[in-house]
Amino acid sequence: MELFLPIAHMDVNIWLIVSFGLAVGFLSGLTGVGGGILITPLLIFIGVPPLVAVGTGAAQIVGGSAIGSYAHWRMGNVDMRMAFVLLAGSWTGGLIGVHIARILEAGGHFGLVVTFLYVILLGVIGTSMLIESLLALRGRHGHASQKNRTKNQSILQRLPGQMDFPVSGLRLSFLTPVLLGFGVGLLTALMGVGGGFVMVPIMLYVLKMPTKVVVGTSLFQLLFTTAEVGILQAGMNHAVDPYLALALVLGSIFGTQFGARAGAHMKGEQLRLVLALVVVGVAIKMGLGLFIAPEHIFSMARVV
Amino acid sequence: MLYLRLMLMLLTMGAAMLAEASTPLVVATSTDKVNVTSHFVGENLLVYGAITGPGQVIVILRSPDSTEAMQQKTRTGPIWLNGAKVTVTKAPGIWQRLSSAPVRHILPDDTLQKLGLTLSSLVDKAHFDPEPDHLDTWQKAFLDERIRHRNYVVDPAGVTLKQGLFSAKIRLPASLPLGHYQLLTYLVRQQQVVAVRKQQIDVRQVGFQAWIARFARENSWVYGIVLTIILAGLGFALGILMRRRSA
Repeated sequence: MELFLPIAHMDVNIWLIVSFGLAVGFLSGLTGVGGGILITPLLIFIGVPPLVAVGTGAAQIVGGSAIGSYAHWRMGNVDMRMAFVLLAGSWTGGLIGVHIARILEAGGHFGLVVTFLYVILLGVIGTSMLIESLLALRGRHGHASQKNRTKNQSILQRLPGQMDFPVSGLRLSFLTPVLLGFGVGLLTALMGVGGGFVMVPIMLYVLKMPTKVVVGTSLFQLLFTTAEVGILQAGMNHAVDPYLALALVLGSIFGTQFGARAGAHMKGEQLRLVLALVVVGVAIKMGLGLFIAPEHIFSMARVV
Repeated sequence: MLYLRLMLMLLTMGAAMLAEASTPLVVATSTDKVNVTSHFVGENLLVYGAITGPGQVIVILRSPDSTEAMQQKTRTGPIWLNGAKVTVTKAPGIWQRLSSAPVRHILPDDTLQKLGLTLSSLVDKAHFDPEPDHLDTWQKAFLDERIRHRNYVVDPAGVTLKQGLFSAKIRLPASLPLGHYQLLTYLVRQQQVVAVRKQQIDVRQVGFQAWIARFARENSWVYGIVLTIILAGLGFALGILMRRRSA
């Protein structure tokens, strides 16, 4: 079904977009890793303007994370105090990030910056997942960073503004989660990702939050961060396409369910290997675009 | 089917012609409104009419001026980066010229230039801001891009002329600037324009699509908030539904 996208200003077969949501949702349901990092590159590949791809990418995560956040909240897996401190950082980061996006877009550099960020991010994540899953498949488990951790911990404990987080059973400076939130907010605004891939490891290994609380709290803050960034991108940059966002949410909800069911019957290491290969593949495709001579040196876009 | 419709139109036209046989040029169009919906994938606009005596016909369709952001890619080392960005104004978004013969054969150059019947006259009037270093390169690239996307079309055989009756089929692309389009039909005889007819075609967005596009532009904050709530609600509802079914 061909549809004209009012914000992205292009014709697209809307079922293609639904199938993107399905495929990425399937992968994330299968492996438990959020699929937000793949949506924006896919949209850029089919010709959606980068700023719209990023804004819509962030907005569609709202739909994808709503039910999960609610379920975790009901089960008491959300450290509310931690979530609000994180949100203080991520809302600030999101606001600044959307401003940066606006300035970059006005200068005509946003697309390029996004490409660079994605090549780096997907390259790093994909390679580390690849190594991790290959090691796991060969039956070895690495625990290399034990020493650094204790060192980091002592620095964190000396920071000012110590605060109790009873649900997590922690006492630490509020500056750490604020900074973490700030970084994730920036990522959401500039790349259209939820940032769970940064948030979850840091909560587990740096903040040492209990595993049970980590998933719930990160999902909860991610829902409200992407909601803020989605609203800002629509309000300030006119960068959220309604049809794209709705089609992606529709696809990804079903995809995640199918993925989760299929994942129950498959081996974890092999699944992660598949996802790692997909991520590395997308990084390479984006990276090559920087080196291949463009078919047309000049590009033109109608300004409304 | 199209030709049948055309024949019918010409028949009715013939009757009208007899009534005013003194006019050298009579023009009609298949429609004077183009409605752009979310399913709009382009449309054919039929221009037809009659001339008295010998001559050639030129049909020009011109949309309102549009603003374009043009960007050049430049190579830095092995990497292609975005280079200069220029805003182009004062050039029509759509411009199509169909004629029954190559225009340079039927009109002198200065007349063509004066009436704005050539691509070069369009790009000469266009305004490039900030003015780039090699303006002529940008002007040529502007025309190339416009022609590549079939926004600018020149067809020297686009008007079929037979025994005083003519017809032309203008193919409108899917992405159209909105507004009042001007349709000009010239009758040319012995290197001179002997008659001109002017018509207006309205291109407008209709339906829910138009409403959404306008609302998202004019009330962007409200739009953002409402859409975000809808997305959260959709995700929530679908999630509950899936859980019920799997339980």
